[in-house]
Amino acid sequence: MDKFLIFTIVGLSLSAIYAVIASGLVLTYTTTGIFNFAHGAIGMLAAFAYWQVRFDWGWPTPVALVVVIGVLAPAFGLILERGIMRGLNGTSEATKLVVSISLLVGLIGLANLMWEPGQSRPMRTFFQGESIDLGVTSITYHAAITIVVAVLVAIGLRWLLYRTRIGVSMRANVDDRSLTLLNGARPDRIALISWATGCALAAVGGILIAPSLSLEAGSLSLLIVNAYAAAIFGRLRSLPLTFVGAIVIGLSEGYLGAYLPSDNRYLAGLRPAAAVVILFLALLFVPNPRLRTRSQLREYFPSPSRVGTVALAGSVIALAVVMVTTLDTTSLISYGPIFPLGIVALSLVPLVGYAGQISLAQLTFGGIGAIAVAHHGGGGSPLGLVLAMVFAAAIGAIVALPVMRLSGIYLALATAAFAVAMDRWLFNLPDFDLGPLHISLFGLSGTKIEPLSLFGYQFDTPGRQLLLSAVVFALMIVLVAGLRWSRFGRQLVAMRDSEAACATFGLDLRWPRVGVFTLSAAIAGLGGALYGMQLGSVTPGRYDLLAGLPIFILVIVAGAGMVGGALFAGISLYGLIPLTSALGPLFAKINTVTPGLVGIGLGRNPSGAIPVMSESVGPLRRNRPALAAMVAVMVGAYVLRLADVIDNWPFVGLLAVSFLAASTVARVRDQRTTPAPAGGESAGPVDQGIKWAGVTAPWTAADLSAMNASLAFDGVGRDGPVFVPAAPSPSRDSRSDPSDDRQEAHDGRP
Amino acid sequence: MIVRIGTPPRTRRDRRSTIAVALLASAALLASGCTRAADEVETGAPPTTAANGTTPPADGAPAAGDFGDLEGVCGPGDASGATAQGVTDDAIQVGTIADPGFVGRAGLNQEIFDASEVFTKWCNDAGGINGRKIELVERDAKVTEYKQRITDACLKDFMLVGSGAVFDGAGQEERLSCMLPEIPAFQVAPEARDSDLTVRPLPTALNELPAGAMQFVEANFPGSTERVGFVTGNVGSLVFVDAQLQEGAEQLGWTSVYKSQYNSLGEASWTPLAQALSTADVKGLVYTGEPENLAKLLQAMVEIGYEPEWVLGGTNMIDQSFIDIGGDAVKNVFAVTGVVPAFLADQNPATQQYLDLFAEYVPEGKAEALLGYNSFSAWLLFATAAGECGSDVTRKCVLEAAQNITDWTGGGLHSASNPSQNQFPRCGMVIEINADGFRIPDDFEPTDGLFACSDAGVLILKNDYGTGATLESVGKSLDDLE
Repeated sequence: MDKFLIFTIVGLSLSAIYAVIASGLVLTYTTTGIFNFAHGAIGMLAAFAYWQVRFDWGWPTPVALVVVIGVLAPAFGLILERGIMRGLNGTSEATKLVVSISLLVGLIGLANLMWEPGQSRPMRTFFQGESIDLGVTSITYHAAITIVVAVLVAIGLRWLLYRTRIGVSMRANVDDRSLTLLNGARPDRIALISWATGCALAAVGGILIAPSLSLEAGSLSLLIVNAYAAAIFGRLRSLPLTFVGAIVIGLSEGYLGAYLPSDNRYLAGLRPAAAVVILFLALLFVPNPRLRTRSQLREYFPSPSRVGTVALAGSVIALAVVMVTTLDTTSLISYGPIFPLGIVALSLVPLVGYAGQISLAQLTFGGIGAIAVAHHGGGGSPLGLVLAMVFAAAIGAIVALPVMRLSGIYLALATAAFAVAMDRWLFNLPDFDLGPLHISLFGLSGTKIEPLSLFGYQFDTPGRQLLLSAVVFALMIVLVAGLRWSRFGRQLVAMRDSEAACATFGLDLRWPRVGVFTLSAAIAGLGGALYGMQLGSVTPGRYDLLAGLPIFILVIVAGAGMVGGALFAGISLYGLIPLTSALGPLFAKINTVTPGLVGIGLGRNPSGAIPVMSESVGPLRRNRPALAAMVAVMVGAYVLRLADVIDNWPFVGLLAVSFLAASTVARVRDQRTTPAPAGGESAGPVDQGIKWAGVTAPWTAADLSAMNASLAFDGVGRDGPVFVPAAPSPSRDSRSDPSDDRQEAHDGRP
Repeated sequence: MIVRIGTPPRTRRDRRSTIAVALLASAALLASGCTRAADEVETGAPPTTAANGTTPPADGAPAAGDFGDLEGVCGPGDASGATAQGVTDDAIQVGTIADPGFVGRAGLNQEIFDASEVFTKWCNDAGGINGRKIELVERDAKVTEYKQRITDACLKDFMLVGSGAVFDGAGQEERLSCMLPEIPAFQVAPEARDSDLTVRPLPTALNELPAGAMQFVEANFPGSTERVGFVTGNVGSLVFVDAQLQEGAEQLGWTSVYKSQYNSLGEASWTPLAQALSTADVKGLVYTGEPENLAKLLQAMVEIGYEPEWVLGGTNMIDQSFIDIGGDAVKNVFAVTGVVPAFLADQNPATQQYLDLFAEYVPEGKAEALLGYNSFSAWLLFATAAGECGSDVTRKCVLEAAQNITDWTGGGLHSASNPSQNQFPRCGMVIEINADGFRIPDDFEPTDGLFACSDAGVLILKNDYGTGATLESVGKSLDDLE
């Protein structure tokens, strides 16, 4: 009984830490609709700042606390809201998620730049060494303070949200933004206050938790995953339930420490993974979220064209051939992951881009593929690759079935929980038997993957493996694009656009969800297997959640709905970043935050980089002569390179110059041949589309008559409308104005 | 511990092919990688070794080219001829691989490069190897690029010497395919630890476990082994070491009453774990993981008023930052080492000479980090073997000369080992770590200089812990070595 009591107390003090952190998370989510993955990172930054002023500069504790929690953290929140979060209104969950994950990456990078990693920064607890005797055990002052703070935070937040005017408008803002606006609230100011308060709470959590950890950017930021589970108990909304969740998690971690049968090798890893397992289970009991009704997303992804798809697939293979023929072995190994991890990135396109579902576990499925090919691809048997897809798909389906009701942030968290449970616990298990099945995972020391051998042809050199991956990548590009053209693809897009409308039409959304999840897991499994083949010997660390996040970020940044996005992600992460890092240590350092920075910029342009890029090469694509000349120069450069007349850098330079020259020529010619209708952009309200009149340009009398014309009204004077039906013929003309098409094309991207 | 970030990369000769893949956001993101990286290194390092004590060299300053009890390691000569890849009339190009460029933890194992630099500068000043200067190429694997660095080395280097990289399992087959021999500082992955074409100054066999510290606590804390607890980080490489320790404890007849893993990323509070150990009445704790986390765990133990009789940590606990973080909570922590740590320099002339050379050649270097000593010993072994080959320096000659050495102490830097066989050294010394520093416990009874030696000090493990890469697996044989 004593034991039980002791661990209850221990568990409760742990709960208090989670409660403080989770309540900050819930506060920002309820008031701004953004699930802040960077919450922990903000706490981490605050802990570093506190260490700096308190222990490095030796300020007195109260002053240090006030400065960090009362000044720095709220100020940081204000900057965050102004600079980044404000741009996220009306974007999809995936975009919001990527921005906050990118912020997490960016902040870790920032902390590492400001505070050199690797130094020990001892941080003492409050009243170190003092504790309160509770009979069976004792708790430290620090733990007691944490519990008191948790209770105060709970009471304070409750009071703020329910008893103050600003709190009420905070809640109103989330329930219905437009209604709140009508009532005279100022959502921008509300958001500012929410972020300031949220960051202050993150700071409190960070400072309380930091003494238990070695003060190090990554662990502080990521540990917070445990607190996410608590927030899910409250469905990210209810503070009391969040506290219940924190208590459940704290107690279970405490009890597992005490009662877990310690002679079982399989359960030994359960304790550190307990929070994510609870998170996963808790998500199963989240009630069905409301179907999204109004979903005017700012993202817009056109269906891939057949020509474009074939060209993309072709250029992937061309790129691979050029790489294999020009690069030395070392570089081939370095840049090899572009293609297999591009396939993993591609698996996100149907899932996130078409269906609007989020999975953070794609690389974990890749790990399952790698396990399959390691154990069944002996002697290079192609069966291994097939089973990589089958196993990954099967596990994907098993994961998808229980979570298929979920979408948005819940699905993201469920997949993240799955990924963490796999890489913290299951991937490290020794072999075991499940009924008749003998299951081998990575094993204690990693596992070996043999190169594929197809019809006696061995893919055993880096070059051959790279080509193999590129060909598979190209095939997958065609497959994924083909999916978009199919009935299934249209269902997915419909689901993304409006779940409610789909439901109204009688579409059962569950099976498309499970289907697309399974399919994308299979593609990821294949990518992971090919990646493993390139590595030769793999350990679970290659496939953990954290390794997968940059891929997710880059795909969304590129434009999740575009098959080209996967290539973009692969090339940026495993091509451009390594390439620029080679320029010097400074670049390498900057590159640690690059993925974060590009993700943060997403709020401004939620459709991603690919549409922007394809728009800018539009003139070139239309200009056959320029295109042909460019290709000719590139082929010429390639021939020179093959003949060893020029080196790699001049070769790359030539390619870049030829592209720049051709697109400049094309753009100039484009402007000359299609002289802009006098004034180009500002061609007047009709060209802009009447629905933008008064929005993108000042409202003029001409707009009024144009509007009347298109609404078939006539005889309207400046003093007010005189509703007289107009003769039908002219108005029909203006309605069929080609500018209407342009409006449609611009929809979603104001 | 001195961590120097932003230390400019030193050797950038082969810049073009070394297209650095530094960054991966993952790496940045992933501090997990970092901590892991740190321990993988440490745990894979030969923790114990040990042997014959250290004979002080002749009085007075050592002659140029003498190190510790080794005479004429380096010196002038008239060697000539391009006898092998990387060898010219006046130089031998040798590669060293380490991970300081890892973005997740900049400066990781920088001591490998530092020690290699100290050695080559010192050796070249003494005249080189029979007159040929050593041309050191530092190849930074940044944790994730080991395989690439191996392929670089395959193209240009004569040999790899003094290397230590976290993910060294990835490139072993490539290394064997190009018949590139290696004399490593330490190895981590099973593929590497048991690989062919390798001579290890401090061998680390996969199926052996140095048990000197375990036997020490067994003898000095009677009864405590009836209630032993095992705690390890939840990372594959740590779980691997923990599994070996558990098997070893079983062989010794210890009773395990508690086993648990902690979150390598960190624990929000160490109290539950401390309380669980206390409730299970654990008298001795075997810990596998990072020093920082053990420091936090010890603090949590103190806070609840619980104190085990002893804590066994890895060699990586012999690190000042462990004490800095743990403060007063650090007590009764034991670790075993085969390398003489810097704090014993006054009792061991070779160690002192090592520190002096650092002060002379790389004063900013990480002179006290133990893995640097491993690296230096590898270099001494290489220079000794290459010196025996005279003018005709070939891979075959150097490898065989190194393999023929059966008694090796790195001039006195560490206990005696037998490079000709891949077996842990049979000698080691136990270090006690307390808040006020490191020391040799009073009850420790050296049999040979600073070390205690016995065949029983190394346990032979029965479970399967993997196998090394072999020449056969890449379709080669020793006959291909030139």
